Amino acid sequence: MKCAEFHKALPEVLENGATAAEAEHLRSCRECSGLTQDLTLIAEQARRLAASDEPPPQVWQRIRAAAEMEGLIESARPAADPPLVPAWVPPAPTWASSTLAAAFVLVLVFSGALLYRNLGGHATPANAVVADSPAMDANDQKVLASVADREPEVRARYERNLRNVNAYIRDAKHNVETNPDDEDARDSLRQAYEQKAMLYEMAMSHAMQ
Amino acid sequence: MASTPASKTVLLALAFAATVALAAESKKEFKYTVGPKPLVTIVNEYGPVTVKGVPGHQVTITATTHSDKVDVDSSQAGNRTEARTHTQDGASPDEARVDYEVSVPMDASVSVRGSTGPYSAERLRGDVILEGDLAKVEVRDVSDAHVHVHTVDGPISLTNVSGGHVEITSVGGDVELLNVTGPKVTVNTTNGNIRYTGDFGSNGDYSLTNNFGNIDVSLPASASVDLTARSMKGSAFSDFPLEQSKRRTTFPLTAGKAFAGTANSGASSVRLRSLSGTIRVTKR
Repeated sequence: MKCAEFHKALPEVLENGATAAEAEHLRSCRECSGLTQDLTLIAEQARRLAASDEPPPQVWQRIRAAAEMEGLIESARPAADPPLVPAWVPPAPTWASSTLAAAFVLVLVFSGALLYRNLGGHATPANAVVADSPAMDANDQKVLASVADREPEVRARYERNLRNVNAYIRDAKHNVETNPDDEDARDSLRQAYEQKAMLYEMAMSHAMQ
Repeated sequence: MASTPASKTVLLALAFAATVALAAESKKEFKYTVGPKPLVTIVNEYGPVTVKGVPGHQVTITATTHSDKVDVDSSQAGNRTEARTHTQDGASPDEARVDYEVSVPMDASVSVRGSTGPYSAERLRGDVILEGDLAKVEVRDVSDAHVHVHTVDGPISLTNVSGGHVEITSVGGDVELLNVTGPKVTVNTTNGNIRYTGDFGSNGDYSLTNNFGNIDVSLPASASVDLTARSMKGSAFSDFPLEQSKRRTTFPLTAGKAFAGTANSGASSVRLRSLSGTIRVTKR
């Protein structure tokens, strides 16, 4: 069996286990073996998250609606099936292309779970997509917990920068509320959220490593 | 000069410490022959990574460890080469530190990930992706390639980068761009200062944004730009001669807060935005 064939069969392998030919290939190919191990680990983690916090499709719709209200995105086309990952989230690469891609998916799943908690788990206003206060919220604390086992300096820097990003979001959000038709104000809020997303993603990617 | 017994003891202790340190230090070298446009990935939590483009078709990775609590694993699969640091549980950052010196063909795409850095990449024509929490990042002499740098608050410096997409994101790190041009250049920070020195090339789209830091742009008189600048809650100033732009801005040009205009033929679009910081455009 060649690697390309194995990659095609990989979803089946992860779902139902390897056939004799696939197991033989796994024994002989270090790359595919490593990829399978990584994806199995990631799938397990994702399942664990999904079991507790998997957001139903309407949560993505609510997130989208909130983002539209914020002016972060334009109104949506009606979609036949609600996608697992909303269209306005940057497209993920094909999952089989690399373990990084799979890690990215997990980050999205984790982010979705966090957003779900924010939107669906509590009586939070619809426009509260993520925390808008410089104070640390529960999601921020989870991100900090993911870097807790690293050196104190790293944790301190993450904490400080999370607070700064939260302040950025708060200020940008206030600016949008004051100037709802201002394109720059909306852009500023979008960029503030992007900063927070990057911070979360970097913390999570290290935690996965 | 006569030496006392005490000083002899100190010297002996120092010699012993140096011997122990040297014994703990270990150097590994990996060499791979690669094809055109290889991909080289380095994952190193603690310690510097220096990547240099060199002529030829060989990737050479030299990794220096400083304790026996850390190891380096390197492998090649097709045209992809990877080196990864493995650290034992409980190792301190000093013990986990590995210093990498990497030479790659100039057309290699390079990806470096880690935490403390510093990272540097130079003389490359392949894509460069550098990610580090606290890492100081320097990129120099890169052409016709995409450059993506992400840090939490490590400072970022790019010098002589041209012809590719540049995407810089840092929450708290300062960003310095010197002679950086390309079809698409974006810098986004929260509290970092952004300094751009150069002429913005031609036919490029530049966006420099932050929340609270300064944005300083220094342009030669020959720069051909269509520039808009706005600090919504801070201030924006320019002593660079700009003519009134033909296109309308979507925001009021309030003195001290915003300005817009073109210079020469306005070949490159330049967008400077800050929420609360100070924007300055100066002629050099």
